[in-house]
Amino acid sequence: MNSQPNPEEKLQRLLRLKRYEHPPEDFAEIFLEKFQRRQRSEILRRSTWSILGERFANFMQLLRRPAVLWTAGGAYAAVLLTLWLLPRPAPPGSTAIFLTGVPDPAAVNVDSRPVSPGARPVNSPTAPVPDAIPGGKRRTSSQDQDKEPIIGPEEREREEDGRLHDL
Amino acid sequence: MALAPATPAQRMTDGALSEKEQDLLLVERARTGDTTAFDSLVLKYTPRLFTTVYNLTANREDTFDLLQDVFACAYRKLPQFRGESGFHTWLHTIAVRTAINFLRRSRRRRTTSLEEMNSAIEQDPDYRDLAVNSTPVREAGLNELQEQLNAALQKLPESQRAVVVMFDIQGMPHADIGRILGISTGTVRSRLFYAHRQLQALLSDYLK
Repeated sequence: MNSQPNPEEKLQRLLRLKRYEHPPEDFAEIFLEKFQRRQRSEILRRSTWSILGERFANFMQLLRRPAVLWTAGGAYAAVLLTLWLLPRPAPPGSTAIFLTGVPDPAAVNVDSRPVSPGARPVNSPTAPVPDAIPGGKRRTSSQDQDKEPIIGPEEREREEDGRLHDL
Repeated sequence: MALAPATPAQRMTDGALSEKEQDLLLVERARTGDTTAFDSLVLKYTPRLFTTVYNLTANREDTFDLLQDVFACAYRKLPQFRGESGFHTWLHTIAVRTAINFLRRSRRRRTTSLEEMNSAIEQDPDYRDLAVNSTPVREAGLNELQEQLNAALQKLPESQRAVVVMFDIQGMPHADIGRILGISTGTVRSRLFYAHRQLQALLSDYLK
């Protein structure tokens, strides 16, 4: 029986001999010393931007993990739910509308340009501001209730006509 | 009374931890800023990585510089190490990719240098068998044989050389090589086949 190894086996044996090629004995220690020196100098040389960039890259890598994604998604959903469930306080202008039926001009004023003192309001060129009282103060909702409704002469005539018609 | 299970640190001092567990423990410590833990990993893996990178580059100085880059890169990327593969495989991936990129960049200006053979080779049964049965191996002597092997390896394309170095010289399994190079086991086998065919032609004198 032929016990000679084939060329493939011989080649593998030859290549295995390269395992005996080793660096000198003190190689690892010298290598480590140089590595430590290099690390220290790198830390001293690095700019803030490169450190920030590296930390950002690590953070992005961390975000790719499914567990982190689920946690972040859950936290986001919880925040949205809390915001939706919280009772919302009514804005102050809306109370005035409810009580008087006359919207607060400040709340509905579409023209937000600053008005110079003494100039006429844009929305009502002739009439003064309806809820303004002498002294420059605004009427409160209780003052609005005591106030007589403003009726023009034409409306007054129409009311009288209506009463006559009823009789 | 039941004894409390030993902590990983206790098991490490007892020597009861596997190599993979020891590595993971050192990695965890290094992540928290313990530089001595990373130094232990450097000391442990430098000889193994040296064999791989040296056989890819065939130059001692290049190997030294590349290994410095490899460990610096590994230290920076330590937070990204997930522990799915072993630390050894992860580190090898960085080393092989760094070396292949270097070889592709500096194809024209490279020189080779020989590393010393360990005297234990004289006792190796494979070497003794080859020296007894093969006249060219016996006549060549160790240095010439080493030069011829290096020259033949350097004629292979980097992708094939990496597979030969990891399989034939380092003795890694196909699956690990595939993981390191990011290729399938089938591709590893096919690269090995073509590389062996070329090496047989280049080293035909020693295979008679």
